[in-house]
Amino acid sequence: MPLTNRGRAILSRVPGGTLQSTVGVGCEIVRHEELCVGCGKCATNCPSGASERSETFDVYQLLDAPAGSRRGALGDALRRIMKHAPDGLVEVPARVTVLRTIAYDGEKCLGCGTCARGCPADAIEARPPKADAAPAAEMRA
Amino acid sequence: MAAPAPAAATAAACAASPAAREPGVGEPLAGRSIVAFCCRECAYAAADASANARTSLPPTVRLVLMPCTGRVSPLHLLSALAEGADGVMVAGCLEGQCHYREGNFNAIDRVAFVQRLLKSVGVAPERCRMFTMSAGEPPKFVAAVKEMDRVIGGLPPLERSAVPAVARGAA
Repeated sequence: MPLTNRGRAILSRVPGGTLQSTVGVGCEIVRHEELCVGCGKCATNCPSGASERSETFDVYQLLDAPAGSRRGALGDALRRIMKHAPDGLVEVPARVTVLRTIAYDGEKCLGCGTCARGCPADAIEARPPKADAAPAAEMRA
Repeated sequence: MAAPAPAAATAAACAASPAAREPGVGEPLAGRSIVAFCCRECAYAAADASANARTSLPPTVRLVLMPCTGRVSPLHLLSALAEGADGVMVAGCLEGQCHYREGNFNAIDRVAFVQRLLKSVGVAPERCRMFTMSAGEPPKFVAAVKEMDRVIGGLPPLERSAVPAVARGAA
């Protein structure tokens, strides 16, 4: 895939940035946090360090998770006993590895889409660059 | 002793109301119930030894045998609370003495995580606690259960919303 104008602009901002195996640089990355299972594959695959496992967990990710998933089951249990909406983020102890929110930094992102390709839960969407594609809403319709 | 028994039997037979349904495995005998996830290597052995010594446990506690406390996941703890337990406790080996090296460290962190989850949604974090003991300390196990029973007894009953767990799946 040839480099788009947007991709070229982003690449020029990266100090020492070169195109290696990344194709389609310049995609718009859309994360669907409710589908995320917290495996951290996007963080390990990310060439620029834009996705990282954070030290906190957003409880809404459990409540919004689809039914039938593991996080959905946790959310169902939590919903039955909760007194009020969760307040803020929860600090995660070191040995709890999966129940973490992935911190995504759009500034660092190259838009290569490696995270979307590697995501086992299809929680990340790499949309074509806006400059040479129709608006995303029309694409999905 | 013989007089009330037939009355209770007939009452149970004629009443088809949901209040008279048979007590399930998880139904509390007293007003509250505590689920204790016990490590097979230490806490369950301690419970066994205390039972052999005819030490009575509070009637509110239900023991669940786990191969190691490292098997306990947040889903075990939360679904026990959601399905009727007023408190859950995890009883494992002393720190550094896990049969599988570090299972109890995992359990300690998971329990801490569940406590923070409970706190963030307005449930008392004391409802979920971790205890450590060795197999040779039955009195410590009994003391832990009694301590848990005392703490849970001091809390109001855990209110649950009537949303059935399958509602989201059906929708």
